[in-house]
Amino acid sequence: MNINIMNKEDHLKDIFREIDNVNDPIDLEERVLGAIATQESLQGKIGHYKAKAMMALKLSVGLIAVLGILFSFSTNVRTMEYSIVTYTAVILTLIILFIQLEISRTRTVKNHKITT
Amino acid sequence: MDSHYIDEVLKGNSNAFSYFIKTYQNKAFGVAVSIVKSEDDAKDVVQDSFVAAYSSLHKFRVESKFSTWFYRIVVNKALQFIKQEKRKHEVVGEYSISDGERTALNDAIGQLEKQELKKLIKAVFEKIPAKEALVLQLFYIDEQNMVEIEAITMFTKSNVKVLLHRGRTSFYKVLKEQNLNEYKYYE
Repeated sequence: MNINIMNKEDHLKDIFREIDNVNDPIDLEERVLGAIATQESLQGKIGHYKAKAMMALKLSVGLIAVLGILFSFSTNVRTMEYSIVTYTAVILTLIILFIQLEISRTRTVKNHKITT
Repeated sequence: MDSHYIDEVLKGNSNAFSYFIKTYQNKAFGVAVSIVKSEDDAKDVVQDSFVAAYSSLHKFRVESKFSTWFYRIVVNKALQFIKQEKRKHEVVGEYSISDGERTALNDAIGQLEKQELKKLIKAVFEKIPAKEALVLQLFYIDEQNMVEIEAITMFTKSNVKVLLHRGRTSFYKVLKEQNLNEYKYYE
């Protein structure tokens, strides 16, 4: 369809000629800038959590490696030493759990203080 | 002018984005409202579009027009919105209008004052299917050419032509159903 041909039979062009906007003007500047600021703040928080999650992951991997080494000793050591290894392993597991909970902002200790 | 402010925003000066909001918000609102049919929803669509444009400004290629790129975002957001709302505006059957009727309607709306005409067009656009109203808005009110309409809507050339033809017919059909005297100011 050729636009020139279309215009010949198209009176709407003449009707709309003087109309540049059908709707009343709007002002969304404050609203949009607010939404952008909120989005940037959220992205900042997500980045922060990602960094913390990576740190927690690295710590956990390190501690699990230590646990693996400790448990690999268990079959070749005496009873007393075996107990020490076992207790150390349990404590390390608890520390890993604690670190992960704290880093994920569960705030176990803080919440415990509030409730008691 | 646009490229200067794009550089400013990309350098981290988020306040420079105000220029784009002030420049394009009203046209974007017109495009959005032609699709979603509600002013409040259209404002949400425009807001989301600006936020999306801000986030992906680094992907914008300077050789293309910012307005075309931005209006495409608005169209996508608005179409996405009506899809989510499951509000589909399909043409109900084929409709034709005689030349006599068309001329009579043209004469009648030619008698209206600018403000009355704006009010009438707004009311008619609310009743026209989304994609047709969008193409009419871009072609007649925003005065975009066919190439720009294709770029903004991502419709094919033939699709734009069909929508424009249907849109015109729908416009007259809805216009015929309107009581034009309602739009006249009486002193």
